[in-house]
Amino acid sequence: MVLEFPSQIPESIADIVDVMGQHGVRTAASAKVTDHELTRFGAGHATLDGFLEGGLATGAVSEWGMPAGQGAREIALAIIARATADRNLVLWVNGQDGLDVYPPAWSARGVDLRFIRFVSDSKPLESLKPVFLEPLFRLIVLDSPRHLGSEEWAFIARQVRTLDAHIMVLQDFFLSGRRGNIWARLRVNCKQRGNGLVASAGSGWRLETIRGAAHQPLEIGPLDM
Amino acid sequence: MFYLALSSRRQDFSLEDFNPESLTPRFMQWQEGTWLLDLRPVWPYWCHQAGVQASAGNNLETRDKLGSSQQETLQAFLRQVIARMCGDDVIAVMDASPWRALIALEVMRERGLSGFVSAQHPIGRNLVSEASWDIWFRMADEVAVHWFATGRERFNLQVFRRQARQMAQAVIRLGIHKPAGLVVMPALAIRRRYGAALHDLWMWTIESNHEGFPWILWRNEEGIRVKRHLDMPLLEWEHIESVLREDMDRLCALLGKQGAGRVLSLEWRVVFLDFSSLSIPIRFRHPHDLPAESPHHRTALLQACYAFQDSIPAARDGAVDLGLYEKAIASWELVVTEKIHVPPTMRDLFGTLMEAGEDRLRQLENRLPVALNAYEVTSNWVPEDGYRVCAGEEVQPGFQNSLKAIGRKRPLFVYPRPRACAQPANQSRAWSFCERIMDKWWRSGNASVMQRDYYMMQDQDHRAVWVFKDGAGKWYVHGMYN
Repeated sequence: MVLEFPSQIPESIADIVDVMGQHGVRTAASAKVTDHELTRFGAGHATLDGFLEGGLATGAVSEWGMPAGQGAREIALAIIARATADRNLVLWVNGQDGLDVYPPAWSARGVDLRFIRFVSDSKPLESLKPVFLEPLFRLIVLDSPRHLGSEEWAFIARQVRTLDAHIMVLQDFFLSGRRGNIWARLRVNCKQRGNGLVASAGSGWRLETIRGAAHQPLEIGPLDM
Repeated sequence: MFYLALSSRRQDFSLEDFNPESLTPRFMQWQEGTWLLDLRPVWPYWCHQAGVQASAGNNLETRDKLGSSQQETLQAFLRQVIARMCGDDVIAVMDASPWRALIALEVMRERGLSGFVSAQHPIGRNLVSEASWDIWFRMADEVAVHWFATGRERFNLQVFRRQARQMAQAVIRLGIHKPAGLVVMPALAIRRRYGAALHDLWMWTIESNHEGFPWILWRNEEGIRVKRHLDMPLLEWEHIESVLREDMDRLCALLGKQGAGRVLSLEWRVVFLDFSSLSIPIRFRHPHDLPAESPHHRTALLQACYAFQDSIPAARDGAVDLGLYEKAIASWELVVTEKIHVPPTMRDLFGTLMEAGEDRLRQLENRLPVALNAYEVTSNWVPEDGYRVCAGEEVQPGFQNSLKAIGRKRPLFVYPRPRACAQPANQSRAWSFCERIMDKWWRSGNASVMQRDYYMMQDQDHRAVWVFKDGAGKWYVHGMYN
């Protein structure tokens, strides 16, 4: 089933902020991030990195529509594998009910376990607040957090700029453009084509941008990853 | 490799020669002159310190170990620390099991050997496999004495000694000269013949398990403590915090200068207005340098706040009828229950590390109410045993490729325990066979359910799940593919 949490701020406001930026009107946030060179977390995959305009930039939040059990976290994992290979410290906050991470599978997919920490928490902003105040983790993944309110989005958007980090929020539902989220610079839906069980012609991933990055959907085959 | 058994060839070896509290707050005196140290609570801390020292090239021995595993680096560091503290006569063995560490220590003592040996090293492995029955039964008797002292349930020392004699006679009759010659004997067979206590000892011998080991932790009665009688009773954390901060400062004055002592746990003994009391443990994940955070004490107060929020509401639940005011705090005592303390003679080795090499990650972990877990892969085919919390050990190079091949077919997320499910109705389309494994038959003893056939399949919500069928034909969901 595809669900979407109602978000408080319509997408159109976010678009206005973008348009201001395109016409040289600098917001406080854009001034801050353009004043220094950004680190970008790519997947080491030319097509995907091209789609992400070089990778996920530090100082920003991205929101991903990835219902659990549909294979889409492979995309996030490719980015994390590259980040850990470059010795960036990554934090994965697992909010999936009743499920624990299985580290051997992560290691087999290229994640360097020395540079990743795992914690299970569905309300990370309540219990892990010190994490968002310390400039330690360069990439933080909030996997299936319980509903994030606008104040919480504002907090993490402010903190990633302060800490020069990137936060990926993986939602357990597909995002829609009807109601937006001005705090996430990038909003993408990831869908797996085919049944995902056996690599075959026609199976792979489809990435659709809701906000930011390329406007054309991207199709990636399983053998490309 | 979390346990260290330590002794000396000198007869008068005592706490004056070696203070285990320099390395860990959890230790016991096994026998006169023999100490057993549990390094688990301080393991990440010492790994970090050893790594810092190795990369700084502070010392030739650890510098040579750069590029070797974290475990080897730490061992080199500990070898140096122990040699400095105890001299050349020291006998020390490090092992994942306290029982095997004690056995190897006894072998070294009997052979007149000295030095620091790790059970990972071929010499360490040989020491355990070369142990005679004499040593095994002697150590078993020492364990039995400790079991007796700790009041192990349904344990009778006389009965144990009789059963041990029977077992000793049996191995002589069988012509088996060493315990290593009997490793094929399942622990359950020992239990049937010689009782539960010898079963446990045999289990520790053939597996790394050491459940039920008789720890009698050394307690320093003259603990560092401060007491506070409040001018007016306090209810809310907001009011308690500032007073507690002052008391943390008073504790620091007693602990000494920055870097000299690190605290692992405090006990906050609270007395309420109705004279009832509550003991609230304040624990740090890593040894915390309390004086270094004076006067704000952010880390300690965060942990105190988490502990307060966990403990106080439950204590006040029963007080509703009497009125909440009865459960206002009237006084408290703050006691340092676990700490490591570096003696002045060792400061040249530790001092600069402790003051300069503070690890921000450990500091952050100390400020959180939950642990940030780091894992490592183990060379084990059973999914549940395929990883462990990071201990700095590395998989043998020969296994790495096959473990990766297995890992690629397994899901990113698993249920802590496989969940029983009905036999999937539709096996036609959305199925993919993954692997067949055999569970460890000696763990459950039921060989009929040992086989597991794993499949990847789609459930009714179109999620890719990892299921298996055991040898008895029962189905379980074990994980979910990303």
